[in-house]
Amino acid sequence: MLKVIGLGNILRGDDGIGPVIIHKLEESSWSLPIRLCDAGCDAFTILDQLLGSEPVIIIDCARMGKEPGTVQKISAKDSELLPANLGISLHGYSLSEVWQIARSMGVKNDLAVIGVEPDSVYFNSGLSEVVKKSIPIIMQMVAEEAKKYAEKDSHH
Amino acid sequence: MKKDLQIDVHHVTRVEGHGNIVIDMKQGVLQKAQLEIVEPPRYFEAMLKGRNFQEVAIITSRICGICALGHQMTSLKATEAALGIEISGQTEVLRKILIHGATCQSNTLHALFLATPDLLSVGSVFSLINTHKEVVLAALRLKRLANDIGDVISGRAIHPISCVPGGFTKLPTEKELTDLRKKLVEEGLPDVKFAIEVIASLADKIPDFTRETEYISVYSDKEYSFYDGDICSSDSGTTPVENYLEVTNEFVVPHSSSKHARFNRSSYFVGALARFNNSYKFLKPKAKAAAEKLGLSAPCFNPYMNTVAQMVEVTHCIEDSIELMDRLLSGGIKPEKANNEITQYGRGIATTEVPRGILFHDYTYNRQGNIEAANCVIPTGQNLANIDDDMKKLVPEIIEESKEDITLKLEMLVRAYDPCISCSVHMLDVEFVF
Repeated sequence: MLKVIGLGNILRGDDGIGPVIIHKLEESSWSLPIRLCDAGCDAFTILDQLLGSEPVIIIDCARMGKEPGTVQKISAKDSELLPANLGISLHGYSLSEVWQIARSMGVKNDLAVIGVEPDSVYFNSGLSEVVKKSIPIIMQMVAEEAKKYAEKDSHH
Repeated sequence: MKKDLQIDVHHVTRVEGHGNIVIDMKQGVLQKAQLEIVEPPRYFEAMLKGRNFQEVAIITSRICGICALGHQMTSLKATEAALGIEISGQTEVLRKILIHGATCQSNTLHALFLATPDLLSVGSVFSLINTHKEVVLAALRLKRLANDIGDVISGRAIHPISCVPGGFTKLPTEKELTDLRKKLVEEGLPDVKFAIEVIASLADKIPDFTRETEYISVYSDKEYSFYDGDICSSDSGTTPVENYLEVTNEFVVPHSSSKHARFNRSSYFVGALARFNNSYKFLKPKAKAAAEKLGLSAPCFNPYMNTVAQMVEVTHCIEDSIELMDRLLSGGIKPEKANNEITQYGRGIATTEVPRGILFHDYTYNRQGNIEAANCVIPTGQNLANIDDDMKKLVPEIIEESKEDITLKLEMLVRAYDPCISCSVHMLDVEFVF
């Protein structure tokens, strides 16, 4: 079963796209076999999920240098995350760090991220119009991923 | 030897905000020893203005991914105080268990992911994975257990949804609580015992540094309190929470975008060590035994021991959660609804202990139930002056050591406080390689 995780802060404009999608999926009438998790800004929850046996897809706001609202599936294979910066506090951990930790703990699967280019991550703003328009595209991508894994499961 | 020393450690933490350690010594005289915080302000108080009482706690729980629960609990209590909303004994017990879960996970991750690599001299958690993978796995299991507590009691692992002013919108079933209790006994207690043994085996690696300061925490004369009580100073005793501004005395310094705080001295300490020093006698038996095993006794004036106090607290929180669950289960979960009876409008001030220390939320509501003014004083801001004072005493004491060793000890010192510097945005930065 596919685990879908929304990462981001709903207080920071388009950074909230991950949790918003999780909320939409919770309200949808889909019968697809998925498990949902709103991880908010807690990178360690992602780490815990990555170490499980189920495939994981993460929805996150991503600065990719594309047009705002662009949705793109990113694999850790074809992108290079920033070097892990573990700093001085638990607050220094983000997806980049926990993915590298998961890798070093022996996780072999690709990390699939549905990245959404933000227009604004200004405090106290909701999703921008361009990112709102991307919601159906993201939902469709999640559905396709869920179907793909459901088919894989049924072959086993 | 009249030594010159310049240290400037830049810790850029992702997208925005960072803390730098800056030391400047000339001819053996310390010119500067400070933690510079250059994080842009987040304006959370402004964000709360005009918000209705029913949404305030949801917003504040998103201030921080690590301290989500603590902000939400403090927020609910401030709102209830302002609007005169009473809560039941059952609600209070459930909230206490939630706070214990949050404390367990933050304290454990801090002690095992950040402090243990220093004590083992392995650099970071990446090396720890190679040499002590079982430590990392125990930390993650304890983290998962805390998420389970959140899931069962508050409806979500991270950002609670069923906690509202006046109580809960959905209550856990007795079966869910019984299952959770079983996990705490069968998984939580053994994992924390293991973690304590790991830290105890490394206790001699903890820097031997002492600076007595003022220790401030929430204090109750009934228990080792995280949820409620007076403000307690190790120097001057207890003060009602309504007087918090007389304690925090926030002031601005040029090298920090975050305000500093002071009360009876030039600085004070908040966090696990302050709680331990002020409330040691209320620790549960297994926690007291853990403290003894770890060589921690109250009062302790070594800030590096904050990490050790955190693990003592993890033991206490699991023990106390089991007792609180027993209390709930013995009487059965009452199918009560959240109390929504507002009896007044005005100002409400609340405090709780979050993992990094005492937290204050202060709201003023108008007659529409919307916030007119808000003030949040977070633990890290209160600790900054104390960190500077620690560095001013520490650097001359270790000045003959190598620059690398001095730098490491300073980093370890700041890490011991686990400062909340930047956590408000978790955007992924991607660089494509074609």
